[in-house]
Amino acid sequence: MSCDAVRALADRERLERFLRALGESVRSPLRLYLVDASVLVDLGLRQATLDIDYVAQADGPQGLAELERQLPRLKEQLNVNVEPAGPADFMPVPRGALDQSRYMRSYGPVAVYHYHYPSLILSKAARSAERDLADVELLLREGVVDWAAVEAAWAEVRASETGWLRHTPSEVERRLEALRGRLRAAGLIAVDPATESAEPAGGPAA
Amino acid sequence: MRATSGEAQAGAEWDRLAEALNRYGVCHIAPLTKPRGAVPSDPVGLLLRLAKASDVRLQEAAILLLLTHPKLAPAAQDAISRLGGVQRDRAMRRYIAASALQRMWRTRISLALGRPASEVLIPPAYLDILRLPPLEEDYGRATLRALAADEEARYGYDAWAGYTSLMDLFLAEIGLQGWGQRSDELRRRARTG
Repeated sequence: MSCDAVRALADRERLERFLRALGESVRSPLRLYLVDASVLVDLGLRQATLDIDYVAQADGPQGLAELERQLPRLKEQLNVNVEPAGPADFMPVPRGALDQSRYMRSYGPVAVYHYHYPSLILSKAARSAERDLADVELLLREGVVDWAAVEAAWAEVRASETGWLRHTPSEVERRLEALRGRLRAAGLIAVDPATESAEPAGGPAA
Repeated sequence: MRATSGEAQAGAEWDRLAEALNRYGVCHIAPLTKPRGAVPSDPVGLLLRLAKASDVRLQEAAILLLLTHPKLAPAAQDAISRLGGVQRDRAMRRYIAASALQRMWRTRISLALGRPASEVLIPPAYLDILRLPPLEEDYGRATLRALAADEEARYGYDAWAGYTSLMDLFLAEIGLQGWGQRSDELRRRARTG
């Protein structure tokens, strides 16, 4: 098959198969952070994704080299599209975003995390495709992410002078404001009249 | 080296169509020289000539024209009805791609163009002819994905990459001053019907 776009969609089962196969293929410890739609698929909130996007980290160069060697084979074998892509490729992320990412489970030496949720939300707001916006609603509705944490992350990111590789801060602010309006209209965040800042409706999520 | 007459004709057509697009506020391409000859101003004529243009950037500009002015959708359908063969097939695909991309990026487009997100949606068309999923599925993405896969099978190029990079270009450009603003002449024509 010549085109990634016509690879099969990755549903939860296919994602699971990929992670298991990866765990069996590498020997060195590796931290794999799922990003974007693959997080929603893993949470069972979305049926499938076109790409399994990830960020990988290892303590030594061996782990990443092994991943690089194994991925083409696994992609072909399992007919999935797996791409290295994280929020930091497009805009700044808060300090310690990876450290604050949620650990999910391990497959042999591969520890799987969900990339820092507030950063995922910010990158979705920055891109603002219709499906991104729907994903944000879903993550809030399901209590996966706390809106106050998103605002705190944005305050830190907004102050960053570097890392704006794809979007400018003012563009993101404009899109984020539109998103806040949409979330308020959906009753997913409320406006705190004292601070005029958006708070999660019905108190913070877990 | 002197240009052949075919190249000269293509260059002249580029200038005229790029100028016509600029007058519709579609500004990602520009004429190389002041166009000689009539610049098409009626939308059906423009869309017809875009479909027949030899330069792929002019052909694809029909997508950006529709995304910028979705009200031109009936004119696009009229133009397609006057085409035949591969030109018609490709024009239908570009129409569908515009419909799908508009649904995938509706909020972002409306923010950039300063228009309400409830603005006219490009009406679905040709989906049954090409046996594509409905535009409501996954905000148009399912349609675009199926369209691109079918197009790659039929014509051999990576249509998905083509559409997504065209959309990247569009999203980067529409925030710029003047995008989507029709020229005074077109506004006058619209007023007088």
